[in-house]
Amino acid sequence: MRKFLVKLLALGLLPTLALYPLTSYKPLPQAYGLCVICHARDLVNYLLDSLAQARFLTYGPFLSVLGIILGGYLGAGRSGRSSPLPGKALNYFLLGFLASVSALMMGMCTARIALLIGWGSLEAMVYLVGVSLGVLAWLRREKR
Amino acid sequence: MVAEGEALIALLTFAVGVIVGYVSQRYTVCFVSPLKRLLLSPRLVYYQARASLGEFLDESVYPSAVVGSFAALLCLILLGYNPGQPYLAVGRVLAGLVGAVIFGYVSAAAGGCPLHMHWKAGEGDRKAWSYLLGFYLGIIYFYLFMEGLILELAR
Repeated sequence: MRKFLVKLLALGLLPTLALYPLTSYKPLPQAYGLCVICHARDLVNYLLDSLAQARFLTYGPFLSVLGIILGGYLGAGRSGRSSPLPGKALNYFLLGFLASVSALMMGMCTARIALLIGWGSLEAMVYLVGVSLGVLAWLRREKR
Repeated sequence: MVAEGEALIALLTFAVGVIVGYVSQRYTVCFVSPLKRLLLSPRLVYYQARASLGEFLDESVYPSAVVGSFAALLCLILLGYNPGQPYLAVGRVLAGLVGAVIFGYVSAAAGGCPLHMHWKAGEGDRKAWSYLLGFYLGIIYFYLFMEGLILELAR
């Protein structure tokens, strides 16, 4: 039960509550606490905006993606690495490209889908069904 | 010139990100692997949940995130936050559904959701770093060439 409570605090409660004081500066979307693609989008578009005045959509300099990478480094120093990924590096480059484009078509990634389901959003439930269909398609292909 | 609130946004989200990354590395958090396990053998997951609910909740990711987010919503309503109703367009949701199917397929092929790949890159995995390179180039590609299509569908 302890792991469940730690995950509940770190994945659901803390990120959503930490963004509450920021809503006094600018209106943020709902359940915006933990969403890897949205925060990466905000960071990249903020940098492009300040360098080249590209006028892309951004809500401010969200640094949580860099924080997640640093947190993974700190955790690996404490408890060791998990199993390495199989396959070629070029395949992972293409998979990352497709993953970010399709997640931006959704406007959220799976972490924010979980947060939005907690807020009772119908849109996120539709997207969760879509993600399950995609996973099922991959499993059917892999079984052959 | 840094606008008001931007330094606060950067500091707060960086601190939250460090905590999330540390916890997810320790407990191997991924939002696609549980779906994969559930769809591969639903009966096994059912028996695991029936055998001991506490252990099942310790292993799972979705229930903890959903319950935590619901608790946060209750706290925000007590603090005086008005969630409001989002504006939805049918075309936007359909485009999102197509994106969701592609995202599920691609994430299952890569073996993890973007959160998983980010903390795996922090561990020093080179393939995860090449995933991240494609990930950030894909964001720039989307906003250069595909944003107009989605805006057209959302109208």
